[in-house]
Amino acid sequence: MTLKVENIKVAYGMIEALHGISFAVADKSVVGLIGSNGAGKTTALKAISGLLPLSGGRITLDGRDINGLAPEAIVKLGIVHVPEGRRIFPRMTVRENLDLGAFTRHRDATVERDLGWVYELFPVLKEREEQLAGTLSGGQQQMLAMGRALMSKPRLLMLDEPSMGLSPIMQDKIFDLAREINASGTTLLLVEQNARAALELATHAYVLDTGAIALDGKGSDLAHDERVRKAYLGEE
Amino acid sequence: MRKAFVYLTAAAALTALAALPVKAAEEVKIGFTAALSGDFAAYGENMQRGLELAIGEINAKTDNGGVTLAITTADDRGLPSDGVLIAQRFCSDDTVDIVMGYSFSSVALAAATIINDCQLPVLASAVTSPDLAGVSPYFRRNVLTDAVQGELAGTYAAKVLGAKRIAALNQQDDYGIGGTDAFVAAAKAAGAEILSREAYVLGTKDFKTQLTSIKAQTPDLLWVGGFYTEAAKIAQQARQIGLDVQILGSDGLLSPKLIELGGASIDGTILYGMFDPSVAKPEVQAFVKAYKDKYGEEPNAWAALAYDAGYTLNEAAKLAAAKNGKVDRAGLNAAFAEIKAVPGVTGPTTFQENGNREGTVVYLQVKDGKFILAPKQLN
Amino acid sequence: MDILLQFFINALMLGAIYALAAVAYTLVYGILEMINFAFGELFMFGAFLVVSFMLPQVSLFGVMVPMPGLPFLLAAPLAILFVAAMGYLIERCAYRPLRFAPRLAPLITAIAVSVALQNLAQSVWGAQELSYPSFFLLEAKPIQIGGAYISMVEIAVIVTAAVVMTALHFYVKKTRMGRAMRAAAQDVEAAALMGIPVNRVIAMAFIIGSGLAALAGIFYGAVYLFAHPHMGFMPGLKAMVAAVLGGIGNIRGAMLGGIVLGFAETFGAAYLPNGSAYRDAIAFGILILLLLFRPQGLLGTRLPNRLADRGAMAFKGSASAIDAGLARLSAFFAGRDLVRYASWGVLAVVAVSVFFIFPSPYWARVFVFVLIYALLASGLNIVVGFAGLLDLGFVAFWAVGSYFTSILFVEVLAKGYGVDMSSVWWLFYVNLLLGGGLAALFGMMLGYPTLRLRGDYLAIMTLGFGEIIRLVATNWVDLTRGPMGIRGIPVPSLFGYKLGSPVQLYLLGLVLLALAVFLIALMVRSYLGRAWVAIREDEAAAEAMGINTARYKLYAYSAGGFFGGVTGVFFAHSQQYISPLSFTLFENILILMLIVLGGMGTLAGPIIGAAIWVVFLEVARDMPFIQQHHELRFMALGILLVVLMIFRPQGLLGQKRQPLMMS
Ligand SMILES: Nc1ncnc2c1ncn2[C@@H]1O[C@H](COP(=O)(O)OP(=O)(O)O)[C@@H](O)[C@H]1O
Ligand SMILES: [Mg+2]
Repeated sequence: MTLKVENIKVAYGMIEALHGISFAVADKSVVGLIGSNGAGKTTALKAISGLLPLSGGRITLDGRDINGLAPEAIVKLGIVHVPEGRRIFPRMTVRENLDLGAFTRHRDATVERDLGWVYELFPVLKEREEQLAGTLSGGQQQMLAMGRALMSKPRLLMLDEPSMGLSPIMQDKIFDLAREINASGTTLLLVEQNARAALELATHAYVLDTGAIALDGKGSDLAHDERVRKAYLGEE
Repeated sequence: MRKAFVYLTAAAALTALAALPVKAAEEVKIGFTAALSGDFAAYGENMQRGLELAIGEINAKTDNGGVTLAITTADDRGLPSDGVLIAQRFCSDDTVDIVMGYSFSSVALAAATIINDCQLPVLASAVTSPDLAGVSPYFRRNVLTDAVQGELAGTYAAKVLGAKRIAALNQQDDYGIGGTDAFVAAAKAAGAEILSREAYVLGTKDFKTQLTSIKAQTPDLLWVGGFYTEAAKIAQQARQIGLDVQILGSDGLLSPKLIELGGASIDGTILYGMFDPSVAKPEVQAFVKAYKDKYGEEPNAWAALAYDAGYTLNEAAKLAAAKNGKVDRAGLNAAFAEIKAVPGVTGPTTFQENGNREGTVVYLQVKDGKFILAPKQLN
Repeated sequence: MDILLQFFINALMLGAIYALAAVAYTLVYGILEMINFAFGELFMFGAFLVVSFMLPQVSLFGVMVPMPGLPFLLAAPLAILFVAAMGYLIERCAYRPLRFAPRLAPLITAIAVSVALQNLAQSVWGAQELSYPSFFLLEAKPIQIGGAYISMVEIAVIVTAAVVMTALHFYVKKTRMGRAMRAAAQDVEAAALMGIPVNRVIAMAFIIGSGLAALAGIFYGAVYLFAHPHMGFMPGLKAMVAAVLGGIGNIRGAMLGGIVLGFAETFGAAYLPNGSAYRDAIAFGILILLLLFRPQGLLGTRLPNRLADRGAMAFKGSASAIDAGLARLSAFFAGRDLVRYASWGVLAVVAVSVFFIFPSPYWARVFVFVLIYALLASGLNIVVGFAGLLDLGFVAFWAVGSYFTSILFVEVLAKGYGVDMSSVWWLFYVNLLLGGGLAALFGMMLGYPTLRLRGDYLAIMTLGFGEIIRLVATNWVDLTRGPMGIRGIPVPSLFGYKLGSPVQLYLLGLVLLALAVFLIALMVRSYLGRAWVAIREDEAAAEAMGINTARYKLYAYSAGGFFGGVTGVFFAHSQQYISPLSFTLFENILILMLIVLGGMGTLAGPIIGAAIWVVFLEVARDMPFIQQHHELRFMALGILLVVLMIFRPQGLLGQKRQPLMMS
């Protein structure tokens, strides 16, 4: 599985938010996409998942064009996007949310097995199976969002700011879980403002600045880069 | 389009008189207006049909005193403001000699001042508001005012039908209010008790609530001052809730649609009108047949009055043509004041000085899906 | 007791019909946050189609056409399927292209579709009521319970409604598609990201909704035994009210709302003074009270104001022939030239109007109406075009101005105190301000409670307000002379010199319009206007920028109301007669459409829209086809607007501004 984003442009009406950015996500890797607020990270993920149309460039999965496909078709290809702010279905139970995650799959034993695996990863979801999702805490909701996405058996999981608004302990926990998911064979595209944690996890990372890629490199390299440290890690 | 073009050329060439179309001296052009779209287009459509039938028959005559009739129609949507525009349109159009139609009194009232200013005669056929009496020396109508109608009906209810306990329902507009005011006053004067009076808006579908309350009052007569569309539903729903009471209705009920929409429930209902589709008079039979052949439905009061208005106009036009050698607005208006007892399917037409029609009503009853002359009449 | 039982039965039956239709509104609203006004017309089509299928022959377009004469149990499902297909097509062709558009766009399109369908039905089936053919349910004897009666149809309505609702409940709870629907209703975008085919879900909501509306219409027709082109309008509005009562987007809420409304209407009509005349006002009154005290509805949950990217979102469906065609047409319409031509058009209209007006009092009168509608549209444009708030009750301000001056002149001064009206000619000019001011005050009163509400709630609230004012004008006979109207209103005059001729009225109107446009331009260019536009573009952002959005929304309502009131005063005196018939919801819709036609949020747009439309209406009268089918004029407007919303949403004059995504 290789995702290639080539020179894509995305505009909101007359305003262009991405001015032609390119990056690649290799199989089984963890790719980080960092940048300040408003840089265009979410826009990039939405373009990949088919929520926003491209005004230029192309996106390929294993050499095949996927731009122009409807979001549901992209999910079927194995690319799943956990949106910023979790966006779980608040008036449905935890279980119903997870079931919807498997919407594109045929109901069979493998779905049951994956549910078991998700419950193993996130035991708290099992405990709260029948509770309305809207009543979960922020961290629990993030877990539910991730679990829901995993239920579609993704090859590429895109996480948009999974640590946003969580306590430091919960943040660490989410990153640990992300690592675990990657270890199980799922490729990750991780968007973060919390650049430190993202860079720690990422095999390769890109820095996005007002709609363009400013820098890229191995995660550990970027973590030591002067400019990144100043601008994104808050160090002097 | 055509007219706009005419004005353009007229103004540009500054030869206005020469450029205006010269019409045949004897062609009388009717500007017809009524609500022809919107919720209440059905009534306007009935009128247009009646009038067009009369025009067709008149124009087919070999000798009609050299007069032919033509018509142009305008939809007023039942809006007073459209009435104003259309009035001005007909006033400005020199080819229009007379305005006919009007399905709502308020539209005619809004138009009245303009029509008066340009001295254009009007012969309306469905507007019953007393406010229209004497509104202009150019305004006439061949329908009785709701006040006259209501008074006759009130007396009939109490004296002839012997009603003692009356519940009244009226359509919330000039027609329903005016007629019912007069009805209530006359019925009270003749010794009947009015148990309740409630208004409903034209277009109401559900009457069960009012009828349930009325049922509890145990009336011996239910007065409906309104149109056939609602009266049919009132009769249906009265039967549905087990209210079995004699219904007496105003002339707005006089339509075969009343029977079609009301089905068996409407049987026995008494109403009055100026037109009795059942009578064996040859002209009435001929009208009913011609109307059915042309439009595939039976005529109602709206159609009959508009049809008679067409013939009344024809009489006036012939008189004017004979007197002046041509038909124009002033001549036509003068002729209307002179013609007397023009025969028609709604009885003879004569106008009073205030533009109202002289005449009386007949009482009809629905029997086995037909209108028949009611066994008891008011003498 | 009997009487109570009878009321109970009536209320339950009416409530069941409202509930069915309310669920239609709620299903679609839940997902798209859009009020599909056209459900009222689909309701009407349900009744017409079932009647047509059941009869041996029907007159269509004035021609007798043989019909299958099917039994009810076959005709009804067929009609429902037919209407469901119509609903799907409307969604596909008129609404789906607008998923990118600002919130107001699909709402206006829905209104336009509704107008087009209504008039289409009149062309097809005629203006007369069609009576319902008899069938077994109608022939069966009613059941008597004590002194109360319940007919078989009523039992069928109540039972079917209950069964359908239960089935629907299980559908959304238990089936895959139903769950997907619920998910999309809670968060469309997240649903899409789960691989839920959102376009299909939306189409399904329209199909089910349209089927329910048709079913409700079929029953409504069967209970009241008729079908008529306008039969769906009021029940449609009521069902919408019921949906809001229950908490729009909430299916069980819609059912409850329908029943509650059925009861409120029945018992209100029975026990309130003059209740049956005010019966329609009862529904709207309850609505307003509810929105004031529990805006989320009876069963709705108050949700945090979700930001930006929740509602309308872009779905790239697979490119189809339809889309390709749409795209090509769209390129044509978007051309810059159109804007230039349109600006020339304004000048041309003024030039040509002068050319017509002086030789012909008729054309002068036509242009008086152009001015009146231009004034009204300019006023409404402040609210809709600049501040981006939908207002379906604007005619109420017009009515307030009209009635204020008419009552004062005719009923109070002339009739009450015997004052010679020509001696107080100056009062007309004072009244322009007072009438405007009074209407502005009403605007405040209307605006104040609605400030907390979201856009669509606001639209319904204003609609309710407009209808209440009209019903009061109709039924408070002692004050307004009711349907008889007030006549004898003096024409404007100046020092005893009457300004009553059409040309004089035109010139007077022109002065008013010039003043109005000047004032509006001043407002729009000031901080006030910038605040309005900020609210229109993004309310949350405007709030964040420190704009007190509530205050500026109030200003928009009052300013719009002011011009509505001023126009009302001028209107009453120019026409010398007013009646409640002028102030209908349909007129409000027309005014709204004029603005869209000319260009929302532009100064010249409302004027151009009014000129084009009023002149078209007059010119069209002479067209041979129109002489036979007058309603086609309005159908044309409806279709024109649907097309315009898709291809040139900025209107004829509007500059293509940055379309608002996801707001
Ligand atoms: N719905 C939208 N409409 C218009 N502009 C938007 C919308 N969403 C994002 N933008 C703009 O696009 C740019 C990129 O935003 P986003 O992708 O959300 O940034 P990030 O996720 O990096 O914080 C920003 O300038 C933002 O204002
Ligand atoms: Mg973001």
